[in-house]
Amino acid sequence: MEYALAILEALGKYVIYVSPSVVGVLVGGFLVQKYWAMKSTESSLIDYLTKELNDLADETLEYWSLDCSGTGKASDEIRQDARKLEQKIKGAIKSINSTLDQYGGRYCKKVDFTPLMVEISDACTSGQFEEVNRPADRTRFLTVVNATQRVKAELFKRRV
Amino acid sequence: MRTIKIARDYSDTPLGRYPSDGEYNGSRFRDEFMRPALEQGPVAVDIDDAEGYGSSFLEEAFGGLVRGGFFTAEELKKRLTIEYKDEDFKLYHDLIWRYITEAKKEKGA
Repeated sequence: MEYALAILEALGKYVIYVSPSVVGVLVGGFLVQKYWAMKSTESSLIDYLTKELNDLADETLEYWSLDCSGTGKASDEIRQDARKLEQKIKGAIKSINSTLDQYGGRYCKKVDFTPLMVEISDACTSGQFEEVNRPADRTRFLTVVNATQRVKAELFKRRV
Repeated sequence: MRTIKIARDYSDTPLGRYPSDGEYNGSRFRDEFMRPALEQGPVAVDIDDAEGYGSSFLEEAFGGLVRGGFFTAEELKKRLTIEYKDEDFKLYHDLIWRYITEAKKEKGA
């Protein structure tokens, strides 16, 4: 009987002194794992957005390098390519804007990405964008790179 | 107040500045829709549901109202409302007001 009571007393002490620490370690471990899982998802989203921004910059460079001001069959083909790129660029801007909006809502509510996207849209699609007979505008690329770089910098600030 | 929904009343794929760029260009939208409506009173423009807008279209359609000397930016702030329900279109709302605010009346306009 005394032996059983001693065991119960030992168990009681264990519950009182050791269990909170064990529970603390388990809860802490769970929270740390959850935090890193969230950061990993955020990091994947940042990678995706960075790739989309780089693709947009590449397509914009290609678009503004095309000279649509000529005449003849070769120029008609260039204009066809330009029409395709125009739709791709507009679609990419809308898609990046939407993804950034979701990213901001989920991970950093204090950051408003809209002014940065306004800069990107203006850099990529203003001026003679969608004009049928526009000449090439190679100086545009620097503006586009700077605008996309500002968004990437804001995203990289969030990366652990 | 008259409401113009671009995707319904004009085109869900508006593009370009001038008639040579396509049927649904910015200058046609400005001259056939915006100017007549604004001359009659306040106008709400609903920008939802379009596939996307190029800045060149928006600048010509809205900034062109100021550049062409048809209205001042102050008059447009009083008469024009840009509406959207889809948050993805806030970008275009901000672009429109940027072009209106930054537009300068051209000499001779």
